[in-house]
Amino acid sequence: MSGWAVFGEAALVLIGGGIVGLFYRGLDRKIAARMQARVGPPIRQPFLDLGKLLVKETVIPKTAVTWIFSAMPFLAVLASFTALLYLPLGPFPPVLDGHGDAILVLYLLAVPALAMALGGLASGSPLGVVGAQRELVMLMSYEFPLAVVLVAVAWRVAVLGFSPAFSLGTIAMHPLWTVVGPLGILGLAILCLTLLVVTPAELAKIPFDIPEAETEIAGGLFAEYSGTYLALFYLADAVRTVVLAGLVVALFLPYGIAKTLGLAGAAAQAVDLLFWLFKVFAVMVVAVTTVRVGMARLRVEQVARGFWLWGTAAALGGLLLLALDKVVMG
Amino acid sequence: MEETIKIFTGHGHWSPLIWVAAALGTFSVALLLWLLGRREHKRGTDQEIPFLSGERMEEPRVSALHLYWGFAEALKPILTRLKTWHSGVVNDYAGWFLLILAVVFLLVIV
Repeated sequence: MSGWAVFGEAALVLIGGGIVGLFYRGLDRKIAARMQARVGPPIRQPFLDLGKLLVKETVIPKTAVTWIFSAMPFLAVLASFTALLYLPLGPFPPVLDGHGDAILVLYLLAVPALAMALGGLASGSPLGVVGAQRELVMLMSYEFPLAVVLVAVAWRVAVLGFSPAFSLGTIAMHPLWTVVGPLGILGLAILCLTLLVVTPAELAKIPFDIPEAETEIAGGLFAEYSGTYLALFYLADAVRTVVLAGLVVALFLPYGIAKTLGLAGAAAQAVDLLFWLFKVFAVMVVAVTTVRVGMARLRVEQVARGFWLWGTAAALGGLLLLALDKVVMG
Repeated sequence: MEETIKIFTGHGHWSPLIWVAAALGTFSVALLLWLLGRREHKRGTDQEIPFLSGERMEEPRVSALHLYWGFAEALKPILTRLKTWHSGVVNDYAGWFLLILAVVFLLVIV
């Protein structure tokens, strides 16, 4: 493919990712409101919020380290959006397929959290610093189970002889559910569940919204962010939701429906792309919307203990089951 | 050219320069958004004082000692046990080092 075609595809994916992220956030808010017997905001509310933030004053506190405080929203946007380019999008391979793998996506997912923590620390506000401290503790807690899930799936794909095993394109092309035995299916189910639990933590949504905790530390990390900088963080968060849900889909639900429907060519691609968008939406509703409606906020030490003990044990257990399945099945 | 800028890790790969190019493209869009937005605020006013629920800040910093509080609190039973192993005797540390090195060698060889 020519450089210009890749550029065009990348631009389309980045713009589309931003729009889908904001649209899904609107749906998330609407569904959450309906679950709580409220009418809720219109689905286009995130777009209105973004527009509103752009016309608000961008205040920089006098206690802030200005250049870090100002640079972090840009870093969060860069990492969130570029991660989209390494994800398979339904029937289409990643735009930058062959130029980055799941490990890169793992790092890119961690960068916005680090950017938010650094922004909070640089604000000079006690609430921002407390939020940053909580974000760092959370990051240290959920990264290991997340990494184990990725490595477990990539290892099983590598054992099957597919290469490069860490490429999300390769993983999505070779779903594991049908090639492993009962132990492997149990292992994959545990790994999938672990990733679904990590998802709201990575996105800092209830019950893991500890770094922001509006009712407790007035937004924490974002207490001093306003206007355009807050708009950038808002956009990065919306896109990160799509990236994480897309990661779950690529690892565990990479199936299409076009073949089953007997479709071919462009129609098949269109149907599978729509089906991919639906799967991403479904993952978001299951892992984020329903969880945040049904739960209260956890404390930071509960999250750290939960991920380091139970989350890690679950992920390693899933990996062990996959390995045992390989030994049993041969 | 493309192969020279790609890092292969056996089962994975990445091209840092390609990512930098993508990041620059994304940065330009983010910059455009920033330029479209309102960037000023009223300098030298109370707007610039960090929000602390109306309280006056005497000491605006939170000590770095508290940075990992939640982590240390969550893993207190393990960390407390680990602390007791810190005898301060160099011979003990060298012993631990050799023991772990032996285990790693065994794992690698097996």
